[in-house]
Amino acid sequence: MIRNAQAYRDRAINALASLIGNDGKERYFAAIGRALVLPCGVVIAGSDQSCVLDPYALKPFALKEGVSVIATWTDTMLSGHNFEIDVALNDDEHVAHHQALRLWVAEGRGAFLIASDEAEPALSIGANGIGRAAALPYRDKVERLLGITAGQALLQQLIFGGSPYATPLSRNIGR
Amino acid sequence: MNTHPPKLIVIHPIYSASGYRQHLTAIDDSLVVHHHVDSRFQLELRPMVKLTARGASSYAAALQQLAIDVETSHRVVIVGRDGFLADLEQLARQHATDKEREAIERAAQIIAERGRYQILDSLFEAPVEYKMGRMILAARERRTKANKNEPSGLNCMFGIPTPRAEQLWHSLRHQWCSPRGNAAGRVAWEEWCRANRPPMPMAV
Repeated sequence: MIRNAQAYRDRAINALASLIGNDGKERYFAAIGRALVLPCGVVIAGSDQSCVLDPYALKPFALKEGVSVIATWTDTMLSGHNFEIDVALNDDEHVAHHQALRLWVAEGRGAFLIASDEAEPALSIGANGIGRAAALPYRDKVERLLGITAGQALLQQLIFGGSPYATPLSRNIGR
Repeated sequence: MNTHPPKLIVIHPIYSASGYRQHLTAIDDSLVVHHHVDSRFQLELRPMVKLTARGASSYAAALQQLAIDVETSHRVVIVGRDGFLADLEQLARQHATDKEREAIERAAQIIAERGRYQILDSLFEAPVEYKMGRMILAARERRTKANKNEPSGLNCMFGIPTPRAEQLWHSLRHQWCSPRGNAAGRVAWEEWCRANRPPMPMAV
């Protein structure tokens, strides 16, 4: 069992990095804290309850450094929460901030980050970094939900080690 | 894994002593928490309702509204549930017109059927949200006119948010937000305090 909350942040960063590649370099940035820099121009940041990461600091950071940023938040006290992923996507010095995306995963089709609004485009995340997907990865609502559930389960497994109640103190304690 | 009801309503009845009897006169500002399926939430503060014998805010209308809320599977927290429900029903019956009588009976029936499970008494079984609702209600601006040097509420003194307000903010963001919103809320508090810091008072 991991007692240090920062370890969950590192696990979250590793989980996102494992979707792209395994040759990252760890660096400290003033704006987003310790983050993993991947050679394809992607920076992966994470946050836990002791070290907060402002979602609105991602876009200025991406503009300044000329990289794309992927960030996610963890909270051990709310273990089992939905993982929301923010992306500041940098293409040709134009940065778009995609907020609160969910990970969509399906066997043989790869990993995507999709917004809660179905009209917005999906982002594909793979070996060559992150970019806009040509089309939505799912055909219907069921596939969409199944993919999100698979992505959530994957992150839950990689970050909290499986159980939605990994910590003894869950949010349901007062109920 | 959604543990929240779609909508939670917190009701504080107000009784006034007229003569020897406590009499139900009003429903204080009630807090409504709307939970959306994508784990967002929204707070709504319904203004105080003074209950009257007839009209739009009559006892019968309040009873029927409560029945509608309960029937659409919202959860309700009432301070002193049993006494409030009994008094409201009795007053509604007492002041009912002939046209309303049937609707009142139906509403009373619905509340009696569902009340035990969906209407919680804050004294015993209320969820965590109820405590938060109490803090929000306690932090409202005061209704009576403040004196010259008195604060108009418990939220700010001399333009600086009090520890109480800060604690309320942090409890709210931690209890109800996703981890992402939670982090954004913490940063927002710090930035708001930095941006709205009042100027240093001048020596007279």
